[in-house]
Order: sequence, then structure tokens, then C-alpha cells
Amino acid sequence: MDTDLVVRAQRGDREAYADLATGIADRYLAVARRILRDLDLAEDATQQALLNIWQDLPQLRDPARFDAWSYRLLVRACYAEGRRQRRWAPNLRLLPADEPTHGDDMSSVADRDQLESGFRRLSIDHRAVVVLRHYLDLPVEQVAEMLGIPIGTVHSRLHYAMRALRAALDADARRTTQEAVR
Amino acid sequence: MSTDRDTTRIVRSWLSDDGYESADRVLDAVLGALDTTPQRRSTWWPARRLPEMNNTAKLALGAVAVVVAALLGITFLVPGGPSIGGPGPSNEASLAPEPTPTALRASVGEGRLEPGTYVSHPLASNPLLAVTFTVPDGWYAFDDSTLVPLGEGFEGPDGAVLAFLEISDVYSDPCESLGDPDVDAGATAEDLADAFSAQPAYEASVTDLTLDGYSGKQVEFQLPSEFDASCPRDEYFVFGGGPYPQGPDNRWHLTILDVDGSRLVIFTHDFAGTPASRQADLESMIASIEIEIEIED
Repeated sequence: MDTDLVVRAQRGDREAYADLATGIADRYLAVARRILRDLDLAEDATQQALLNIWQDLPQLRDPARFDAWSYRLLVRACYAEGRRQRRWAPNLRLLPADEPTHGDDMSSVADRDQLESGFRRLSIDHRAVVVLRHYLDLPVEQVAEMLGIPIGTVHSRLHYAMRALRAALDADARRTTQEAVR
Repeated sequence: MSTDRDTTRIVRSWLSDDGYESADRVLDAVLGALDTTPQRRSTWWPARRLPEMNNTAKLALGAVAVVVAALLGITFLVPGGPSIGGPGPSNEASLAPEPTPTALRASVGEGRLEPGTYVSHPLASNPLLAVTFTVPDGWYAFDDSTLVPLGEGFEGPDGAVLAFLEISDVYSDPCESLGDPDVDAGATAEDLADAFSAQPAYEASVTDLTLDGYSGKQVEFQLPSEFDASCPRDEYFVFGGGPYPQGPDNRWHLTILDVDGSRLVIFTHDFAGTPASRQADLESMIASIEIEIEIED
């Protein structure tokens, strides 16, 4: 992160903030979309987060902490969108399925579907931890700093979420096996 | 049955393969809204003291002081000699018109403020509200509404601050302060005092007071002794725009006044280790305060 841009934007330089936002927007949208599982909600959350970042930038004490601080605002915006989603749209709209991959890592379209539904059953708290840890590949300590929670809480949320996703994958494997036996 | 390692690998692969969308539409909306989205003013204070002067600067300042002292001596020894101007009390105060207060401006680069009478216009919602007060020796202006003692600075264990603030809302949980404050604090001194005293997260004692003829509330805060990673000190905000505590056991004193429909907050903070002389400075500055609504040109 270019701390000079951050400092200039803190002082109200809109051009500097435009450069800063352009550099992070795609990544933030990708994170929001993975947490919320809905492109419209993710766009709203990212937009709100980028505006909140602009508004609150003068209050960021250490420009070197911009990444952690701004991701925290993004995750908070995702929480807000998630709450709005629960309030106004109890029936979740499924994402259109992407083209299946044929590599070794994703064994089947069924895995993908099971992960999708298993992931949607997780709370936003749990989803955020999984995305920051396994999509952004951040160390647990940094995830804790971004979310403002103790490291132990990150570990426990991660453990719970991964156990739930594993159960979703195993349930699908059992169903496939039973269908094959019949 | 899959192993933990399998699950992690599959989840990672699923997340990384999960499509890509451009944020151009979002960016257009955000950049289009910047002009109408003001930044929130920062009231956090940096964790630093003004740098000590080097020897050259000390010698230069000493030489200037000698010259000034010599001039003053000449001025007051020569009968009928000219008087030296500038803010502050003078032997001729009873005869001369009141000195025009100097507009308070940040003096971080220059160091100390000249002792004297200053004026600040701290309210964005009412720029005509003027606070005039007398600054003693040994203080500098962090900005146009914040005064800090040279040497001790903002922070604990011995720092202090005098600031004039505008507060419109309050956080119900000071540790959840990254979004907007969630408690509207009304429009009057009583509304704001009530908002503070209604929050269970901290202790705020409220009393009535009058300053310069304006009535209001005095609110005393005793802030936490310890902060941890789940709620670091620089993310603990009691009200919108800060400040955050400047050290453990920071004591905040808020004088909240109703001034002809506007609400002015006179904020001071200190610590148990703040020198008595600085406490006396704070008291004298507050006692000297005169508030008026200026007439628009």
C-alpha cells in the first residue's frame, strides 16, 4: 500500500483517494462477494465501505495500518448488508453457477454445490474468517486484527466453519455412494 | 470421508475459482459521491511531543530574548516611551482599549504560542460563535481549536489538552467505533449529558453549571485503565470524531453549554500525573472564556 496516497487522501485529496480506491476496489468486491454470496449485495457493501473509508480516513492514526483498517470497514459493511439481506430477502438468491473446473482440486460440480449451500448456512462472522484466511491467505493474527477479535476466536470460528463445510462435502459423498449402490 | 487437509484444499480452490467481477460500476458511484461526502474531522491526537530544540535554536532564542528584554527595559525605563503591542495584559490596560484577540491557528511548526488573548470559532454548524480566552505561557495550538502543553504533550502519564468541540452523536459501545455513532445526542447540553450518562460502557457523572452567563452541564469521565487487542486505545471512541483516550486512566472533563441555540463543548483532559501548574493553566483558561455570537458582516 502506498502510504503517501493514504496520507494525501487523509488530508482530503480526492485525486489521491480516487487512485487509492481504484487500486483496491476489485479486490474488495471479490472479498465482499465471497462473504455475501450475492453480487448485488457485494457491490452495495463495497460501495458503502469505500465511502466509509473516505469519510473516516482522517481518523486513521497510522497510515501503515490502512490495509487492516480498511478491510475491517469492508467486513463491517458486509455485516450490514447481510443484516439487510436477512431483513428484506429471507429467500436467498442463488448465484449462477460458474463453469465447473476440471482440475484435481475441485472434484465435482456436486462439491461446488455442497460448498455453496454449506457456506450459506454459516453466519457472516464465520464466512468472513474463512474468506480472509483461505481466500486472501492471511495469517490468523492478521485476521484477528482486521476483525477486531481475539486470535482464539478466529481459531474457533475457523474450526467451526471448516467442520461445517467438511460435513457438507461428506454428506454429498455419502449420498453419491448410496445412489451408486442402488 | 474427507480429511481436514482435503477440506481446506477444496475450500481454497472453490474460493479462488469463484468468478471475477469488475468493480468499475462501484468505483464510478463512489468517485461520483466524493464531492458531496465530507470527511469526518479527526480529533485524535498524535502520540508525540514537540521535538526538543537543538542547541543552536536555544542560543538563537536566548539571544532574541535578551534583545526583547533590553527593549522592554528601555520602554519602561524611559518616561513616555512607546509601549510594546501584542496580546496580553499591559500596565496601561485601564487606559488602553481592550486588545484585539488573535485568531487561534495551529502552531505545531513554530512551537509555543505567545501568551495572550486568542479567539477560536470551533463550530462548523455556527461559524459566528466565537470563544475568546487567555493562553498562559508554555502552550501550543495543535489546530485552531485545540491547545496542548509544550513538553508534557497530549499523552499520559502527564499530558493535558484544552479543546473546543462540536459533538452531535455518541457511540453506545466505544469499542465499536468504526462505523457511524449510533446514539443521536439531540441538540441541547442536557441531551448530550443524558446520552453520555445513559451508556453503560463507561462512568460519566453529570452536574449543572454556568459559564460566562451560559448554562449547561459538566460531565466527568473516568476512562479505562487497560485496553487490549479486541479494543485498542486508538479505536475507543466515546463520541463521533474522537478523541480517543490518550493513555490509561485518562480523565475527561466536558463543559457543555447552550449558547443561543448552539451547543458548545469545552473539552479538557488530564491524568493523575499532570503537573499542578498545567492544571492551574487549564482552570485559568476556562475561567477566562468569553463567548459571543458575532454579527455577520
